[in-house]
Amino acid sequence: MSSTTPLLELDGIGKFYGNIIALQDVSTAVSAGKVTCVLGDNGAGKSTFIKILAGVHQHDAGRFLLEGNEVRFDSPREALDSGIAAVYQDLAMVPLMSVWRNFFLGTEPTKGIGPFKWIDTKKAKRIAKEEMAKMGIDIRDTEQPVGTLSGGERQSVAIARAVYFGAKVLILDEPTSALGVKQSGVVLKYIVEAAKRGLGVIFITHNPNHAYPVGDRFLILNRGQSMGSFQKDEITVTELTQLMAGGAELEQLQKDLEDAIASKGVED
Amino acid sequence: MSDEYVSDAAAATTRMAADRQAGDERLAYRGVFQRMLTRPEIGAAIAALGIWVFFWSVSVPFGKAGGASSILDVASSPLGIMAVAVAMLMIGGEFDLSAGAATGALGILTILMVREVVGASGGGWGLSLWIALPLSLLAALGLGWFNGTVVEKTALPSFIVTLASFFVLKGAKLGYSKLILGQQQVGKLDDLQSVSAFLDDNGTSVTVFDPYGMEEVFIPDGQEAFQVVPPVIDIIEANLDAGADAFAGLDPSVFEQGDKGYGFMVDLFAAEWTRNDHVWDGRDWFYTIGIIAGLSLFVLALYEMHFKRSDTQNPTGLPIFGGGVALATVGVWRLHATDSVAGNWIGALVILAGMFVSFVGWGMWRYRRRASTEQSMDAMASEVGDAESKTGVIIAVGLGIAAFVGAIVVSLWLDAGDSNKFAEKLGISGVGLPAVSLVIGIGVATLTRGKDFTAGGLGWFTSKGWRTFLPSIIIGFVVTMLFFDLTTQQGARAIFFVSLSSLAAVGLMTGVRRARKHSQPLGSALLIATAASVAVMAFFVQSESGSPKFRTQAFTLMLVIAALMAIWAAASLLFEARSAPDHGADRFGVMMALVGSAAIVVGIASRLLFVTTAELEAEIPQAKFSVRILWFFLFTAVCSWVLARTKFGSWTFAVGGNKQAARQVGVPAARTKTQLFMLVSFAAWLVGLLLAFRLNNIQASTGDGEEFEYIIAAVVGGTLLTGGYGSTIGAAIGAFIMAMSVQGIPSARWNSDWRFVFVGAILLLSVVANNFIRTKAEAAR
Repeated sequence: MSSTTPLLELDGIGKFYGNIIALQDVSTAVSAGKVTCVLGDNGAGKSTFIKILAGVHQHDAGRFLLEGNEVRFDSPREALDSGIAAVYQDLAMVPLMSVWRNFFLGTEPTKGIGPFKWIDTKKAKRIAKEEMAKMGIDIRDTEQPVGTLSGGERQSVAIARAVYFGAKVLILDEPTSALGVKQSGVVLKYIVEAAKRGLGVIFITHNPNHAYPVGDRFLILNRGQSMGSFQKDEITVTELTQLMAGGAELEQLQKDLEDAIASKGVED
Repeated sequence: MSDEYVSDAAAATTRMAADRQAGDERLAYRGVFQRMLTRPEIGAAIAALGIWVFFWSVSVPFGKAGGASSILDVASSPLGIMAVAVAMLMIGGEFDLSAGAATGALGILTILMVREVVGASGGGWGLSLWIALPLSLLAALGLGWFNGTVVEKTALPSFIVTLASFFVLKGAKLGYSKLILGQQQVGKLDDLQSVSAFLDDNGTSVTVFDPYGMEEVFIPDGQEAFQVVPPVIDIIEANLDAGADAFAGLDPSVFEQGDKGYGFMVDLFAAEWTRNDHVWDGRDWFYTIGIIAGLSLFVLALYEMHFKRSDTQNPTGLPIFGGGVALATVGVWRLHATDSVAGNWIGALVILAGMFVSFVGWGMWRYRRRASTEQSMDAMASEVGDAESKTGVIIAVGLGIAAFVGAIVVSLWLDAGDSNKFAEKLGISGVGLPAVSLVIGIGVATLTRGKDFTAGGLGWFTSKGWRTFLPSIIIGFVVTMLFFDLTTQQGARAIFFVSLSSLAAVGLMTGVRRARKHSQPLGSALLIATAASVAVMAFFVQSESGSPKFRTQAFTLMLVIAALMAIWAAASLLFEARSAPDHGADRFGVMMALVGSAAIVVGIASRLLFVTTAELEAEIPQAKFSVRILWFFLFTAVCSWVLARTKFGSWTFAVGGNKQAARQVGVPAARTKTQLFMLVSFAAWLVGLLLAFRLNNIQASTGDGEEFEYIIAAVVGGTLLTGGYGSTIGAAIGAFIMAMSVQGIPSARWNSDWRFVFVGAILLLSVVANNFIRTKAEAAR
């Protein structure tokens, strides 16, 4: 891969549900070892964006380039096979199943001949434990059900899983939204860790304070429209926040809020 | 410490190794019993044991070979095989209400495929069984595929879709058999049983030779023999009677059909093992050794999962272990060499001594010794602390012993008055035992909670476990009292025995656990005291019970339980318990437990399958075992393996637990679910064949409505109605529980209609118990 070709490139991507425009004319790029942050308020089209990348939905307009070649995924499996792994907000984990089973779910290592194949549980447990250790998490008992782990630990299982299965591009959907301050910091550390290991990371969030420290490139979405894609040196965290809420709209909102407070004072 | 993770792990895991030694503060260590409680089938296994003891104590034929054969028969097919398949589907998050109707439908379909076109009522296709079986299997898989695909494509709840399938199947069965055959049953499969027929030289009469010897006919010379199935003979005879050509209207090919594979298939699906035809005098050797070895392996498995492995294995333990095993073997030999009471006693004692020695040897070999007992005693003294709580314990234990002795004295006194008051006596002594446990519990609670004697005791009595456990005992008691004939001694005895002994057991174990939390020696001492009181109870039962069966067998059972408790208590004193997980040891323990179960199964099977000459002379009743039981075991084993060890099993849990998540990580969710539906219809096909070859005729209504029994068996076995959690072995045990109620209630001479009340109560209780066990297990993590 030449350094000039980004790992993944989107050019004018659009998605329509009937007459509703969910996403229109969105362009950005993800390079190996870099973190691209996708920011947007609720309803900005972040979910649609991630689902197109992960192969759950298909784009209706624009071009989707993977290592310079135009692609189109019909299923999450295809996207996974091409090296695009998504870690969803709801984590794609089965709470009642053990850590190692969740880690290898869908791609279990097997032993045996022909139709008589069984899971190599010993290997699976060992790898799950080692991979978690590489992310700096010590899962003591891989037989523990995932439902008993904390939110941050679950995130780490999901990220370690994606990294282990040879993901080239890792998509993280709001990984910090349900976490406390400390746990969020831990997850942000994993994001940097994953990028250091040569992955292209797409970090989707509505919190610019989480995005700015780790991001190399920022794509801002608002109401299904791209508000621009910026390098880190082109933008500050304040501008980021402004753009996210839609600049002018935010000013309008501020004015409305002031009016409301003023009128409240009159009524009193 | 030999541990696979540590030995081959990368640098990053070295820290974990250090952690292992130090103990991970984030994860509370769960003891072996708590770990067992997280298994879904454990509740059902305990319930099955309790129900078995209940029926065994109230009914004479129950528990004998004949009773066991009919229980196995009812449990295996259709119920067991279907329950296992339905449990897998339920784990995958779906239901199949057409499963019951499908069993009958697929049996009828198979019979129709092989029925002779030339038969009296017609309607068949006349295929060979070798073709018909794969064809009906295809039809079965098609049905499963249809159910699965419709559920997946429409995203409708599966019970609606399969309810529709149920009505379609039911209607098709009824409509077809009435329209074409004019009757509500489809048969007869045994028409395929080929016979030799002989036509005399003149062609005026036909002689039939029955290969099964029921109607042997002399065959004169010069007759022409041909192999043919009975309907063809009917036609030949009819032709002869009418004075026509014997073979008029018959296709020549009917003489070349043979039995179409019937002889082979009937052996495969309906062979029977007749117990009284198989004499083996060495059987009881096998039985005794199997049971003793199996129980010992269970105890050693508990050892392995409970104690801390020592860093250096002590080789002197091994010869001691071997010596113990040899001693136990000598004991078994003594037991069989003698018929005298004293000889039996000596044999039993030698066996117990051998077991004890071998357990100690095994422990010395593998586990770390505790710090010296003297030190522990000191620690105990300092832990017990102030004098007031010490006094509390002494008072409590003293009161308990007094209550126990009092109960026995009162019973003996009653005995002197009226010898028919067994139930009352047992009631009072039974009250005595829980009283001991209660008082011990109060004492221990006082010990652990400080000075306040009453508050401690009340705290124990109102703790959550009791609040859940007591009502279920009371409900069970009231239901049994209301619906079964309590005026007989049997009923009273069973209720007292089961409810009070479980009450006492829970009470005592609570006391022991609390004491152990505080101090190991105190816990062990209490456990030994408990064992002693169980032994006293055993002698009491032996001398007082009116039923000979109850007297000897309950006596033996209680003594063995007491011995195991004492052995466990002694081992806990000698060896150090684990405080961190050790997966290597756990695996070894599980393996030992599996080998132990196998030994027990072989032991029991040898007793069930063979008779001794002495039994034959005593003319014991006949018992037959069907090959259906083997099919059931095989199916359960394969399904359990698939569920636990294959990708498909993992995916089954995943699609039931969180379908969306499973799809997102690339599990083919729709395919997995469809395959689960196909598994259920495969099971229905198998059950249909088993029914067809056993009964030869299948009623149009066969299987209708039984799907709920499959679901109940699965739920009783610990499978969640919401999917994602459960066990096929649990479902098999659930089927046993249902079968025990089918067989046990009539054999206890109650009206068999009460069975449904029993099933309902069991269902409710098991759901409550499973929920309780699961939340407790989850909370303990």
